[in-house]
Amino acid sequence: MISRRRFLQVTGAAIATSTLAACGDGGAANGGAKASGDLKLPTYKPFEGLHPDFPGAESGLEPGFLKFPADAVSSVKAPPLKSAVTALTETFATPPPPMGSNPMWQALNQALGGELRLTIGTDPGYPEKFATLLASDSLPDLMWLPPNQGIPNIGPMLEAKFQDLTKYLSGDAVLEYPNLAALKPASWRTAVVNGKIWGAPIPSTPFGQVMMGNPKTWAKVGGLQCTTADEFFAKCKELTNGTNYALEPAIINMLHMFGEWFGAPNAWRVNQDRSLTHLYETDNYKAAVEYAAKLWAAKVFYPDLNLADATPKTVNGQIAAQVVVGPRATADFRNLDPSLFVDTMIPFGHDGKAKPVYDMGYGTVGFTPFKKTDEGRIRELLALMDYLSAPFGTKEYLVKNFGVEGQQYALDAQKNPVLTKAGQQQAPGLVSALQIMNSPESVIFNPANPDDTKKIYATEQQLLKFAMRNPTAGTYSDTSSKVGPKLTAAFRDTIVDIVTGRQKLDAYDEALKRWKSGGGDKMRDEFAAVLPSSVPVTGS
Amino acid sequence: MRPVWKENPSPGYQAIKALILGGFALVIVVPILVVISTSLASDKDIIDAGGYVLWPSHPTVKAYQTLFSGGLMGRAILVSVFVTIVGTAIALAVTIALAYATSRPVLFGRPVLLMVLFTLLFAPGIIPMFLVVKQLGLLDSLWSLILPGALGAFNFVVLRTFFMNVPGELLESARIDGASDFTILRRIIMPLSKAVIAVVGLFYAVGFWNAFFNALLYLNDTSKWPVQVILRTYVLQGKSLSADQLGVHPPPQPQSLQMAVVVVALVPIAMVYPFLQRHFTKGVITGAVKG
Repeated sequence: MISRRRFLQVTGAAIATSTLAACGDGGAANGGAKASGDLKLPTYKPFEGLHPDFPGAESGLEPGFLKFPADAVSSVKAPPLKSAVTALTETFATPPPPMGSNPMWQALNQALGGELRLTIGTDPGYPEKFATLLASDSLPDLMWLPPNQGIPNIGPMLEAKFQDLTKYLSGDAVLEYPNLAALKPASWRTAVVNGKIWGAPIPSTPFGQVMMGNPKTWAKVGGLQCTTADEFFAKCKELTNGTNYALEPAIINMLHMFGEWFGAPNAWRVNQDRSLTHLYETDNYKAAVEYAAKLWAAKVFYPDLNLADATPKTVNGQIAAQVVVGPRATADFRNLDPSLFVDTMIPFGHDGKAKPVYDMGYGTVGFTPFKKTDEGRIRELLALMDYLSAPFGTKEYLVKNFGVEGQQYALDAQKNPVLTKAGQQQAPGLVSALQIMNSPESVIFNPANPDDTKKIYATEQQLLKFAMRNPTAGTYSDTSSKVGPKLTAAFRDTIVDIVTGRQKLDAYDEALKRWKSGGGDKMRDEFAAVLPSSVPVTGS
Repeated sequence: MRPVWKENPSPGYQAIKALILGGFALVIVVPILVVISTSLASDKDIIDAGGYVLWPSHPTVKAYQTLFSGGLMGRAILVSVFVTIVGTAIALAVTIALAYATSRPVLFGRPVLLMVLFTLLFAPGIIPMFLVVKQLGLLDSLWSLILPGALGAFNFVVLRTFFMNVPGELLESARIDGASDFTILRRIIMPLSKAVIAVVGLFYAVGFWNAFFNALLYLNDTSKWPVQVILRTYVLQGKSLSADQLGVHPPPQPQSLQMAVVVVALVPIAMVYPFLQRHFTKGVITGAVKG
């Protein structure tokens, strides 16, 4: 879904290369992280009755569908609601027509058995809206909690105002809500704070950033794929002339890609003795910075650092490659030019021999906690979560994402649902608001170009060979939540200066010293102390 | 006009002047042109230009059609117009009345009142404001966009200072003729202060028209959102449909939609400006030269 992917894109770099600082707010102060490790996560039981053309896997591989499953099955037994529910959410699309004049919303209410009254926030501005509702004690039943918009003190806030759902969801208890049981453990980990489960996680793509390039542009130099960093450098130089440039000017994101080729870890490296080394402390990352500076000096980056959206320029060939989130982002380019299927770079060893790394992403867009309430209401709200988390291909998924057949959507020649004109007005803002507060595990589905699904699936398989996850995902460090974002920003400023030639490479070590003394060392100790034993060693 | 003793400027000098002034004019005109052109650009224009368009070769109004098709934009314009007109009227009434009262030395307890009003210069913060609006029962009502901002401390200070400079003798003579305070305000102070009132009115109007943050916080019902909130959502979010929902009628490119909203939000307030411009220059230089 583009809307959520864009959400990740905005902060994607932060998620991929920092320490999930904003997500780790609170909690750790009282050993909450330790408790998080002891919790029994909800039992994973994939939804049965769906047959994807390409099967998914727990590794993160997304199932692929060539067309929308015919005769959508039902995933819930009864409408979940008995009375109206209020919820705070956010839309990443244009705002929807209000409930009173939105037949799709009304149809959803009917299917749910009660009114779903959404308060729709926008970004930026969401944390302020969240804070005012919290402070004035006028909490709706549900409030989407984003992991990366800087909402502070999450641990104490959850304990004070929201409902602990552990006993309803932990272990086999979740089986009562089959659609929630179909959410993967990696997703659930992001809904745990202080050793308790606070809501259903909202999966997005489990993949992190990838580099994509226009094949028409890259054909001149033998294609996007490379085997050494030198080859990539030479190709970039060849592609740059006049007003055409090889690379999008998003330096930190590009650097993230180079780091993968140079074998830099995903945020932290787990050493043999189970100590941690931060990305910035590795020679691999420093080498990537040096490499980026070399590329910058060769003038292959588009010179306007403030370029907001490189997509149209990639489509028309002015820029050859840009960084996006997840292999499914090929659809963004199809939107602009339906004849264009962009290539995705598969990481390679910088010297042709070293093993590259592919950084997986955070995987969810947070979770949606409940206002404190009684057991009956909790069960009702959980049933609602269950409904709204219905997997792709089910009846409930259709109602939530496409509305009613003949009204908001029609079936095309391949029996895929396609929004009608009415649907295009009623759906986007509403669907975006619903998707950001509840989602099933993601799938690959490109109704207009089923072949894309096959290719993306293959790309995902290749990326997974080099996949590395952030070893600290789902654990918390107090220091990281307090000073992490500031330290990262300061360090990145120096890196950008080095890459763009405003500072020498010597500045790297000084910036690293400041990062360590400013809280980096403390973060390492805190994360190392709670490192789950299930996390694999990733370095020597 | 050029004084008789001054020689005509040389053509070279004139050319340099024209060049410099032309350059400045371009700096202002080009961005506006880009906004309007991009709003009228076709998908192909946008891809060819790699984003924003200077001159559309295949102009289309598709972006505007899309914008107004959902009904949200039309309603938002009505909301904005209502908030701006009613808000400005209320704000002017409140500010003029208060400024007049506090400009008269006879007012009882004036120093204390001024102290209290002085605190208005400092913003109270989001949460206290939210609590006040909530306690007043204004949540989800358009009045929440008007009443909290009805008295601008800065505008109040400007008006009060201006009123204080009206000669006391004028008011005294009116009073001898039997005029009440209200009559003095209406028949003497206000006609003398037309320029400054027009300027303060314009400040208020632009403020009400541009306000979006209050709407985000206080209004839960999207049908009550003013234009600026919609503008902001379009510009920040851009894309409106996810890939697996794209149907046979692909929407216009985000860039042209964004710029179309900018035009829609810009035009009404830009139309008001020429009518007030005369007063505006006069008002701004008020007090610059004291005779």
